[in-house]
Amino acid sequence: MNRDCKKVQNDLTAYLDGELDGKQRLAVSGHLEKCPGCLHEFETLMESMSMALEWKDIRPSADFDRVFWQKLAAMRERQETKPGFFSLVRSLLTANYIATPVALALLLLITFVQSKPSPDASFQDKYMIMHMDLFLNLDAIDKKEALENFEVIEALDELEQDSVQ
Amino acid sequence: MVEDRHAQLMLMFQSGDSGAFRELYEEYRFPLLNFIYRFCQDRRIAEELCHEVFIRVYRSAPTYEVTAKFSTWIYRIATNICLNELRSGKYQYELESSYPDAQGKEVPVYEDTNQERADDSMEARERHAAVRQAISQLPKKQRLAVLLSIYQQLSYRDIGERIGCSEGAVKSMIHRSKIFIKKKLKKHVGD
Repeated sequence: MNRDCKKVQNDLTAYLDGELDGKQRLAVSGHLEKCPGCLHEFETLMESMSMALEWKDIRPSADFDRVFWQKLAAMRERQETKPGFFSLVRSLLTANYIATPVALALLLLITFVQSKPSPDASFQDKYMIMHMDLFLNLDAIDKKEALENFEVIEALDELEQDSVQ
Repeated sequence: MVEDRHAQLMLMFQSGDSGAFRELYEEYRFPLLNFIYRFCQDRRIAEELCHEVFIRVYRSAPTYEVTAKFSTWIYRIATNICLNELRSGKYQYELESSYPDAQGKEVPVYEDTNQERADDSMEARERHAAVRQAISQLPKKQRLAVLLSIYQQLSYRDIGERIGCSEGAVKSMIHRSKIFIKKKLKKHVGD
């Protein structure tokens, strides 16, 4: 297969589907006239597509329409009797007699949250009890200097003897 | 004035004319059902999904605007349903060799197509099965594109609009798909 054949074979489906412009179409048909290999490919493609067309349409089953109109009626009934959550919220909020009290309640809530005092001492105590081991370690760290002095104490005798000498 | 008659019907339905919706349903149910059926190859699922398309059309009436041809719009809905509903796992999607009829009796899938009769030769049945199998093996989007090309003979541009792809992408998908189908049907076409 030469370069022309490769190019033509890439265009065969578009050629068959009538998707090539005039110049491209002429190039493909000209090539097919003189190239038996590409012509065979084209004929096989055409036959395959004809064979695919043997798969005929189906007809809807006998109760297709009845089932559809029932489904639609059920959906409409649901829509009428049970509005969705968002549409319910929207309709409530757009009603003036509801919107004003809701806005006031939201304002009060925001004010209350913002004015809430910071955690008090009792909260800190509870936190310390819950994390006692952590606080014990903190104590140990606090006394780190004292621990370092242990070495001095241990060597105290030697130090005293040195100072006497 | 809207030139697209189907879009005009949809606008009439939007204004409260329920007869316009019925007309759209009558015109589109048959081609849509076949499009979906060839995609999923299961009559029961195809019918359910086809109903779903029309229910979505019904529900979108209040917000409908003519931004494209009505046929493009409704096939876009069908395409999304084919790709998403089957992916959701709501439907047990597989090629079935039989399905239960209204009485619960198993009916072979060949009888499902309404065009194959008892006198169909074994060869015809084999050819039919080979076509169905070849198409079912295509990736979903390629399958949608090739179905619109073979069975509705739409232009690549129209196919692109319906399945949400560029014309170039459609050309490439259709080329690959048709070459794949040709290879799969090789022994039946005397290659």
